[in-house]
Amino acid sequence: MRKGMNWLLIGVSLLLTLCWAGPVLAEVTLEVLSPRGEIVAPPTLSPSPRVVDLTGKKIGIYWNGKQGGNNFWDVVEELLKEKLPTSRILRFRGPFDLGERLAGTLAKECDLFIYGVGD
Amino acid sequence: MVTDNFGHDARSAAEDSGMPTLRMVKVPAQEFYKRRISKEEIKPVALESINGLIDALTRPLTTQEANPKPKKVEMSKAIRITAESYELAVEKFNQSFLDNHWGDGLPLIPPTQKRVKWMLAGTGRSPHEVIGTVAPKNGTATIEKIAINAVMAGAKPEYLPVIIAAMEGLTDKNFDLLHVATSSGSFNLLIMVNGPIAKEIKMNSGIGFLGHGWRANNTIGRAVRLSLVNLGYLWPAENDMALIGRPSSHTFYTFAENEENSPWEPYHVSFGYKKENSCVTVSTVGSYEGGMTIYGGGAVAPWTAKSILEKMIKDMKNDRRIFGLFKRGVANPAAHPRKYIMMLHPECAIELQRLGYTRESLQKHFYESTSVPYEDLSQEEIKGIQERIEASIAGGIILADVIPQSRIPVFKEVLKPGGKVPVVISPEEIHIIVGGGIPGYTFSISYIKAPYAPTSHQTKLIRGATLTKAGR
Amino acid sequence: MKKRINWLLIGVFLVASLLVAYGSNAQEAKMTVLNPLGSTPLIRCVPMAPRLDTLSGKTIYIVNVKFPLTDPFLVEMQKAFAEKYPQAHWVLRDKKGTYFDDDRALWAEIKEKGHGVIMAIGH
Repeated sequence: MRKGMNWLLIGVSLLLTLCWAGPVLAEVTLEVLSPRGEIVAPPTLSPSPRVVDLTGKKIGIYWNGKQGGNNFWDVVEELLKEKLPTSRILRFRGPFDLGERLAGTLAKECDLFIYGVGD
Repeated sequence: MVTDNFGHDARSAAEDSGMPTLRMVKVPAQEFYKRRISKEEIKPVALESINGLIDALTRPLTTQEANPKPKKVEMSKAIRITAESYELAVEKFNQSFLDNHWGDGLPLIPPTQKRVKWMLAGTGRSPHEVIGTVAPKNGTATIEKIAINAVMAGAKPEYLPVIIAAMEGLTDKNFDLLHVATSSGSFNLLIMVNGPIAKEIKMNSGIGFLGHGWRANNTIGRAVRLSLVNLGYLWPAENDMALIGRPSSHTFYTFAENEENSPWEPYHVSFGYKKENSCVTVSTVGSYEGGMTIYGGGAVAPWTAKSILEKMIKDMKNDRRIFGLFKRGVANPAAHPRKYIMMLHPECAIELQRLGYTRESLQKHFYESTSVPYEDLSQEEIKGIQERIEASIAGGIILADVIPQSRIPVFKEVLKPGGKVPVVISPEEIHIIVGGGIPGYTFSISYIKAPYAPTSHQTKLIRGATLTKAGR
Repeated sequence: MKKRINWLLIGVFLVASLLVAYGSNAQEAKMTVLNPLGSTPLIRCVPMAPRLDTLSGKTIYIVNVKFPLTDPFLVEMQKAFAEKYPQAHWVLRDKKGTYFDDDRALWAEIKEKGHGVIMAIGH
């Protein structure tokens, strides 16, 4: 009985000593919450199918009004006319955000179009 | 077509709009901006890009392009960081968050569960309550997420209702957050607190009111900054394209109006709130050129309220240039009407009040003194104003150029002999605020009319506070 | 012998328990940080001159340090003081240079001829 008690005391003492020494040797773990907001992804749309042959097509160029963009598009228009003499180049300009009405006009009047950000 | 340095921003915007596989053709930024001044100069850039353009238009879509999948944003509720000691764990946490673009460059407070719970004790509102979505990537702002960012900023729980109200203003559907957050113009935010809560949480409204040293001012502003970074998924040179960066970018201009030394009613009361209410006003302002102008005050050069008023009017009169500069379909910032924040130092406000001015009569005085008699307008100016009126009615122009429908009759009425055409859309676009201490400076901070939403200025009631008497 | 071993073990047990209790409490509550303030040089304190028990027959200098626009105020101050306290002699003097500059000749004059000084800082 006495022998058993001795061994019990030795065991408990060792355990407690390890508990004290333990934190000195163990790692620290920080658990933090994510600050990121959840995004509800909008429905995704694919670009329109490509127009493989541009012969005779109506190509729209949209300028969002950013300064100097008109000079760039003027040159692009000239180059497109050189490369695609049968195609028609239609020029548009408006706000950054096309909006429903302008988007509808472009869809109706052009076979394809390029939007220039200018930034 | 975009410049290469805006490529990341453009792709990000395409994803936000639901078209992640939109075809883009890039031109070198280093060449485009300096050469766009004329057709001859820009020709080599256009020549380089034309084949890429035709290819983008004609090459059939790949399977991936034709079947885009939405970009999944991995959301983990909690992140575990382990290190040999607490200090090393905090260092590792800071580095990890910065590497992920979840911080602001300054050390953060770890948002542990315990710490966030402590922060949420500052409001009686539910942590799951949705405040809105934050541009540009439209992450959802809940009370809990705002609290997490507030912990990171080093704020105290009693500041949380103020931070929430600021975020309510910024996520209001009428507020143009997209422009201030992402524009290359390096625009800034003014975050002003009114009402008794300002004193309770010890905000600075006196000397140094736009600077450092006050935990409430600085951490409220920082919590808003971190919320924009993390809920809007905003990052410099990726989609936050402020080319120079902003002064006070970490904390914005966060302060309380100096109601104690003001001769007039507090700003929020002039908007119809009660004096015992507490409110936050968020407003987009300029940072650099045309952004902030000092008119007088201080402790060195002499000044009078009258001389300050005259200088302000003279400066505002220069906005007359917008008349002749408006061209339909051309995005010219110099042609956009402006909004003015007139920050009067207390001594100046007191002097103006002695001269008989109220806040309202001062707005009216600015508006009328800067209006230009019809007879003084040039033909080009008259044409520009007429075009702007017609375009505002027809639509299809950038919002920053639009005269609101309610003001069109006013402009039509004055655009004839005997009339006076205003350079400011309405007297309400001139905001009179008393800020700073004694001595102080009077200055204006202005901003163009917002381009993506109706307004760049919102005032919201602070509510749900549990740790202060005000804001409940 | 066995009794001694038992007491030894009980002692070790008690010491270990105390260490655990102390250790865990210490880790929660204690943080030692270093002081970020810079050391300032020792400031030699100079007491103010003893106060005058009367203004009668005394010469009091009013010194204008030349901060912008202090002249009109100090001219009026000198007039007002001379009127209200005619028993003293009130001398208004401009310090040389700007408000940054020292004027040792003036300080020497005041020390020789004056009994009191009002320095008008201008802020």
